[in-house]
Amino acid sequence: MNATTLIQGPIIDVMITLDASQEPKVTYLQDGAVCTGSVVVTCGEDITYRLVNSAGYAFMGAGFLTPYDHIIDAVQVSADGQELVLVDEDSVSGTTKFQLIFTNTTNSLLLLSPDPQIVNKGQVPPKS
Amino acid sequence: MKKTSLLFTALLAAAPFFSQAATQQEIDLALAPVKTNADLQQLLNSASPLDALEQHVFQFVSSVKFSKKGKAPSFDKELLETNLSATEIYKILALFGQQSSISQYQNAAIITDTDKLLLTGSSLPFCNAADPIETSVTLDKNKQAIFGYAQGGVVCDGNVELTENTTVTYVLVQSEQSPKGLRLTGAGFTNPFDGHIEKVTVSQDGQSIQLENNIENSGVSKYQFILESEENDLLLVSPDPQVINKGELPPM
Repeated sequence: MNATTLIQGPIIDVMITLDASQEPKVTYLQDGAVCTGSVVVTCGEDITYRLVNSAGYAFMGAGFLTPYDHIIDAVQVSADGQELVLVDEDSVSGTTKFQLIFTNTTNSLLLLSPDPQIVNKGQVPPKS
Repeated sequence: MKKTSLLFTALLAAAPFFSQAATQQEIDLALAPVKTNADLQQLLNSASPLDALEQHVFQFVSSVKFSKKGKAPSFDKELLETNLSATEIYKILALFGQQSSISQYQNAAIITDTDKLLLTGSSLPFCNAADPIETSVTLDKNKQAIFGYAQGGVVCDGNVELTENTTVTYVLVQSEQSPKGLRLTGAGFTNPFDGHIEKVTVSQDGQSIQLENNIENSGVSKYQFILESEENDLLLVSPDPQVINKGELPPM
């Protein structure tokens, strides 16, 4: 995974569990507290998603409904697939929705998360 | 499992409606006022819905290509979408018996409640799993990807309903409005463990994808296509088509 020159933004833990019906549930935690996984960005930063307590899963990438909106500039996945970084230079304001994509060791199909989102707020111009 | 069962029940109840929609498309085509170039030329001699195109009318007319009898003609859809309201487009589509495809014109101007209703209230029929499903991805003026599905020129909703083990094939259809160098890389599932789909295969050139179901596992499988392009390094995901394994219906 290439290092960027941006500051480290939020680090979000991602936990995948199976419920009683064997349906996967994706839970997001920040500093130990459950959160939505969504992030508001006001300056350029790296947003890190880290798999925890999710044996058998690895990040394959992130998929976007609007990949050409320039809100997220790049996606990096660590060699062991346990960490995914969204590089957000915050050059474009707006909201982008994405889904995390996971491989699993049970079968060859890919798992998709429900969609968290990134909101680029950028700098609010001063009122004249 | 509860969620899957509920969705399956709802879709089963909706199935007769989708069959009606397919029949309606055939009726619309059969009763279309414009089926030949001669019909089209005659239409230009009097007032018609084409007048809404104003200075673009001849550009549109020259884009109309009639194919085999019983097949829908092709024409410049973007010209309609970028210049007209949903109602104006609907009236032009009705000339060619294609009014049921109005939901593909999501970037049309919405001026009246009817425009809004046309773009949110229309439903398309299921695709037929026996034939490849032509999958188009086009970028609108805001660079948003719009997914469309069709078979033999007839628009369908991308979903399939299966009653036996089947290999469902989706084939990318590229156009000038498609993201540059678009390729399929796979399909993602909200539940890859429900057994509805057992295998996904992407062709080497990334232009088609096949999904193999297991009919023994009844229910609905929702999936999204994952694509890459030369526009940038990010992955594009589609809104979700779905496979419905109907299996054996229990005796009443």
